[in-house]
Amino acid sequence: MSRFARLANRYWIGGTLAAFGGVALARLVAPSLEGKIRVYVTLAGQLLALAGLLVICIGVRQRLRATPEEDSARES
Amino acid sequence: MQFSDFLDLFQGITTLIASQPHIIAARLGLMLLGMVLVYLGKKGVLEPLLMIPMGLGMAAVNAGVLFLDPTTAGHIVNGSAALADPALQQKAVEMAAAGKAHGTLFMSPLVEKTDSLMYILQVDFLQPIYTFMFSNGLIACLMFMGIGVLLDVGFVLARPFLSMFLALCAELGTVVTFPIAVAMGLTYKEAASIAMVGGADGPMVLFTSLTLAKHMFVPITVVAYLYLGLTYGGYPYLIRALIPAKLRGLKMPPKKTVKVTADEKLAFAVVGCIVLCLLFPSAAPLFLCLFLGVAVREAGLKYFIAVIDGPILYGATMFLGLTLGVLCEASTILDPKVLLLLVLGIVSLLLSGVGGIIGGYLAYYFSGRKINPVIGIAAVSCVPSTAKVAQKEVSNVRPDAIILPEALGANICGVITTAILTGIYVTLIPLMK
Repeated sequence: MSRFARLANRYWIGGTLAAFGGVALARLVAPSLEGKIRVYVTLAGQLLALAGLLVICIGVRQRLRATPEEDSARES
Repeated sequence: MQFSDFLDLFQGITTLIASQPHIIAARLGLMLLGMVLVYLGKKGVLEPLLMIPMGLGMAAVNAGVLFLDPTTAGHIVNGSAALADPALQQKAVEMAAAGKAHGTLFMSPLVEKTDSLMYILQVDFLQPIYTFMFSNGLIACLMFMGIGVLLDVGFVLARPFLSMFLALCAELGTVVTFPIAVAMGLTYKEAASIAMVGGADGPMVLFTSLTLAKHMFVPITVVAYLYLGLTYGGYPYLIRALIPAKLRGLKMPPKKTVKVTADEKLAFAVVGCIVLCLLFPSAAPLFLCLFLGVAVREAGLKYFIAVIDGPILYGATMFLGLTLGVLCEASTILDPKVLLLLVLGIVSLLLSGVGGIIGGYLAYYFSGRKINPVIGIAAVSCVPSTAKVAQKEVSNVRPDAIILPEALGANICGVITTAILTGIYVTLIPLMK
């Protein structure tokens, strides 16, 4: 697997988009709201941002699980 | 020539005799404590890198009190915030003018006004370190940069769920101590600062207390570092008390050795740093320094690595220890809340350890009894002490059982989780009324 393909898989793209989407929700959308909904949107944004980072980690874990099989397939 | 003039030759003793009884007791007690810290540091019971400079600084600052000349004393009294009681303030001004004010040539942490600060910077030898490195949190950031260079985020990326779950459990003390501290009479800002001791990360406690409770940062940080020194000695007993030997010796199934590449780790550091800085700008300096260390390591910048994990990390550690010790001057540290802080600090650290072990047990059950529960304690983010403690305890029962990779994953994730909690506290607490 090339360096770019390793980074540009769906987990990395999805995770990064989710993380920055969460930031946008918490820091851009939430301040324009008022009352309790503002708190909920802020919390949702922060959780989404952290979940995005988790998705990236899951992507790396998936790659680690897949790698030995690829290597062994190449060897055979 | 009178006898009192002869005593002026030894002003450390003269000022001791001329002090009020509680100051005499505190100065003698702190000198003794300083000597004990040096001894325990040398013996390896407490962290020697911190405790030896801290202990010596503590002993020296309480011994080296002298009568300040009227100009210096005037700058200290008039350059600091006025005392709440006008009569006491007036008395302090008169004492300073008469050349009878007590002080040291180490540092004057309470001076705020620019003119007085400029004068003091030329008199007190540690004042430049305090003003330009300590009070703005730079020393905490430098230490964090050093920690970043030592971290391998690959352990977290390889086992994200386990690491994050355990790290969250090990924040039990940081979360639960906050309401306990508020119930015991501390303000929200003080409570958040002392609760951070549960994160077991010295620079983070320093950063939080400097940001939220600057008037209490000396006792809070000293308590934090004293207790962090104890984790190495105390946590093994907690592990033995809560986890039976049979479970401690549990051998985990072997895993395929696959490397997380440096590119992946670097990309994660960049994305993680930007996202966390965007979410918690108040803690952005800490995030930047942590991930800068990680980025330097993963980019393979050998010269930077050599500078950061050598002179910067150890220089910052030495001056942190020395400055903390010197800040423990009797008149600065005497506060009725110190006893409370001592209790809350140990409660916080104990709860975090228990939370980590509970997390370890949950991981053990949910994994079908495959994961060694001792890993949980490693999620308390005292890098890498708790991971080493966990491995040592497992090895004592079964020498061929290796849990270090999983323990380091939880450990490193603990650092990131504690930094996030710092960001949450530093951002939210000022908004609470």
